[in-house]
Amino acid sequence: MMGITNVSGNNGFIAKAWRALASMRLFCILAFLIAFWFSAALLLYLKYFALFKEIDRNVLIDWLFSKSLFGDPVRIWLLGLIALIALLGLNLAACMLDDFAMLLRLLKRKNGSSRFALSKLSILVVHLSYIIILSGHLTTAVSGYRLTLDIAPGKTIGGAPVPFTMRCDKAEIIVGMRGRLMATGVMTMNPGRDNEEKIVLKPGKSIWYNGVMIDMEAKTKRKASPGGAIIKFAPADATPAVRLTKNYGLYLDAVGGIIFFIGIIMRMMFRKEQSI
Amino acid sequence: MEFIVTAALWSRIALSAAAFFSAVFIRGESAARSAIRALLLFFVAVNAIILALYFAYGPNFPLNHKYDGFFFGTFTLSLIVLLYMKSLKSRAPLAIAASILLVFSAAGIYGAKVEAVMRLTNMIPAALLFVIFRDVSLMFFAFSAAVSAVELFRPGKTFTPTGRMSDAMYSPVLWGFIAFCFCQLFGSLWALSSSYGDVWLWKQSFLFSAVVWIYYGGMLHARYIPKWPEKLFPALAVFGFFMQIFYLYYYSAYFEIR
Repeated sequence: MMGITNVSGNNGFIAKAWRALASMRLFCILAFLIAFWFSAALLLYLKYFALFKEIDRNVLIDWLFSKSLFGDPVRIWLLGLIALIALLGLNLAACMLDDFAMLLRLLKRKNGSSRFALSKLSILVVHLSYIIILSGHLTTAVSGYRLTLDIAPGKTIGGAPVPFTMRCDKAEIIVGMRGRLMATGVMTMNPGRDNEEKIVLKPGKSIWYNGVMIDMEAKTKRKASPGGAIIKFAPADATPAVRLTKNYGLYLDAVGGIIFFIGIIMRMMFRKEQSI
Repeated sequence: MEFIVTAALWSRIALSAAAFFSAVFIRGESAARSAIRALLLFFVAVNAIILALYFAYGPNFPLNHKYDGFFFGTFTLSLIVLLYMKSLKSRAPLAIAASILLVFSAAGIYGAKVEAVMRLTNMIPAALLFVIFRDVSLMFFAFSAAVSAVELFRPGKTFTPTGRMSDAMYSPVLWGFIAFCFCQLFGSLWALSSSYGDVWLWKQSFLFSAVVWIYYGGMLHARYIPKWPEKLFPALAVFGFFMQIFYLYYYSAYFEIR
């Protein structure tokens, strides 16, 4: 690895390409480009919000390939975002290898400052956390499932891919704040081992059961309205539904988040003045 | 209780207005700075009194309604100004910061009228912490933008000879970024524990949080890039702050689709 990353004195094509890939300049350019790209989504959202809502209800990769890749502006935007983030991932990975190589060199020095080595280690930890968080988002985008299933008292749902079945004992629509319709219900869960268990699903609260996130929603044919004005419906206009979400990427996101905060704290403790 | 809180809220407007006028109109440098320091100390004390009253009597400590986020914002900004005042040669950033305090204090009173009691955020602690950290980070970015604006138009006249650029312009961005990371963390927990059911959704507020996070992440690295213009960092600081104000108080009010 030292051979790959220690290229400061080498002017060959690979060395130059490596330096460019691991450079802070590339990171900055990508960061501002991605920020701009997300800003563009705020404009796209105004016209294509229904497509963005569709993404929320599906695993990203399934949604992306469910129609022609260049069929609508949101898909094109998303492809651009994926390309930019993939480049950012490569840039971060290259930076991390450089950081690691430098850290090894520092540790080999007998008269080196341990504070400086810890400062470099903190950069490595922060970059590592970004890689893990990006991996978490990638995992979320390509795995798991998101199901929205209609429910009514007496109806049983579940089964593959969900590792349990749930029978609805009670489901009702209630009117929440600002006339918002919400759903609540009582379910009997059966994970297949004859140990049934009752759970209460409250509006606005997700619960975890056997690694699956469950929450209830009131399904209406509501039209989106800009500016916060919520179209009021009567409870009879809505039907209760259960959302079942399996998101493997959450675990990586959680680990990445913890490592990120450890890295930030280390950075604040060991950084030189006037530096990141 | 209500009378004292109302008086305290209005006194914040008076104090921030007085700090602004002191920064602009008092001629003697040391007299102006002493006046601003005293006024901001009063401002901090008034905020502390409001917080103590909410704690003692309010139904929803520490936020009574969602516009109290301005309270944490102004609290933070007044403390930042007090902390960095020494390293500033020019009074112009102090005047800009005081005007931001004034606007946010006034907006807090307007908010208290339009929404008397907060309904949503107190239900979930993560939501409450999200609001607090969002406004704290915004004020760090605001202070950096105030200093940067002066540095952009009057280069070299912002900092004292001993003052370092990083102290007043750069460090607030760093602390703001860290506060924003906490905001993201609590926002994710809020989204996860509420009916959103995930840490990330393709909604406008989430998309904008991504803009802010990566924008300031890039900005923190920008000054280390050789041959990039010196004015890039201050220009980015000013643009970043206005971008957030535009989103939080204009786009989200008129264009957010719910």
